[in-house]
Amino acid sequence: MKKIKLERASASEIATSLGISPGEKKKAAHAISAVAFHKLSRRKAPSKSAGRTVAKAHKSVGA
Amino acid sequence: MNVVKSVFLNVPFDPRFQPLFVTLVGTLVVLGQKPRCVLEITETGQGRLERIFQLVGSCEMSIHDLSRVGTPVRFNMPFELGLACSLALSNRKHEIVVMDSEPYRLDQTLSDYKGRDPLIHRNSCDELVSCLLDLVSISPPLPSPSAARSLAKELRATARELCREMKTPSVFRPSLYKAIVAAAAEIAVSRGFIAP
Repeated sequence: MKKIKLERASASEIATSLGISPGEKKKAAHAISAVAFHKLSRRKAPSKSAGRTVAKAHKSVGA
Repeated sequence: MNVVKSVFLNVPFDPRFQPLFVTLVGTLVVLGQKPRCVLEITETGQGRLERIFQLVGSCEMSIHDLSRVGTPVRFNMPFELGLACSLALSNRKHEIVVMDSEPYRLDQTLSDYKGRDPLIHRNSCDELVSCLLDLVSISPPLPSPSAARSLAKELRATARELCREMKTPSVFRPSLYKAIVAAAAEIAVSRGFIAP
C-alpha cells in the first residue's frame, strides 16, 4: 500500500478550522485534569511496612 | 505530493464504535491532522446533503468505516463513500481510506471497490492505531505506536469523563466532539507531538 504523506498542523490551526470555542477548550482541559486526578487517587498508598523499610534505608545512609 | 491536513471521518455513530472513534480522532490529532465529520453540521434543515458534500470536498482525505453490516441497515457510510469517490474521480486530489473489521469481507459487500486494501482494525483500538501509522509518512518522524496508543487511551478516559460531565452516554454530539478534539490537541501538545 502506498504511504500517504502528511504535514503537521498546529493545535491552534486544528482548533480554528473546527471552530472550537474557548469554552470547549476549557471543558476539555477540565476533563483532562479530572482524569489525571482520578489516576493519582487510584494509586495505592504505601503500606506501613514499606514506610518502615524506607525509614530504615534513610537511617542507614544517614539521611 | 500529498500533504493532507483535513480528514473527513465517515463512521458508524453507534455505542460499540465510540472507543474506535475517539482513538481515530486522537491518532489523527497526534499526526497533526484536522478530523472533520458530520457532527459539525446541524442535524436538520435544507441543504444538509450539500453541506456534507462541501465538508467532504474541503478535506484532502476521507476515512470510511464499513464494518457495520447486517441489521438495522445503515446506508450513510457507503453513501458518503460514494460522495468521496466522486470527488476523487473528478479532481484526483482526494485520498480515500476504507476500513473494515474483518479481512476480505469487503470483497463481497463492496465488490466494485476490489483491488484496494482496506485497513482491518478487528474492532480493536490498538490495531486501529497501528493501521493508521502504517498508512502514513510524516516528517519529523511518526510517533512510536506505543506513544500513540498511550495518548489514545488517555483520550478515551477523557471522553468518558466528558460524557459523565455532560450526562450523556454518547460521544456523538456536536459540542462533545469539539471538546474531544480540543482535548486530543491539548494532550498531543503536552507530549510534544504537535506545536501549540
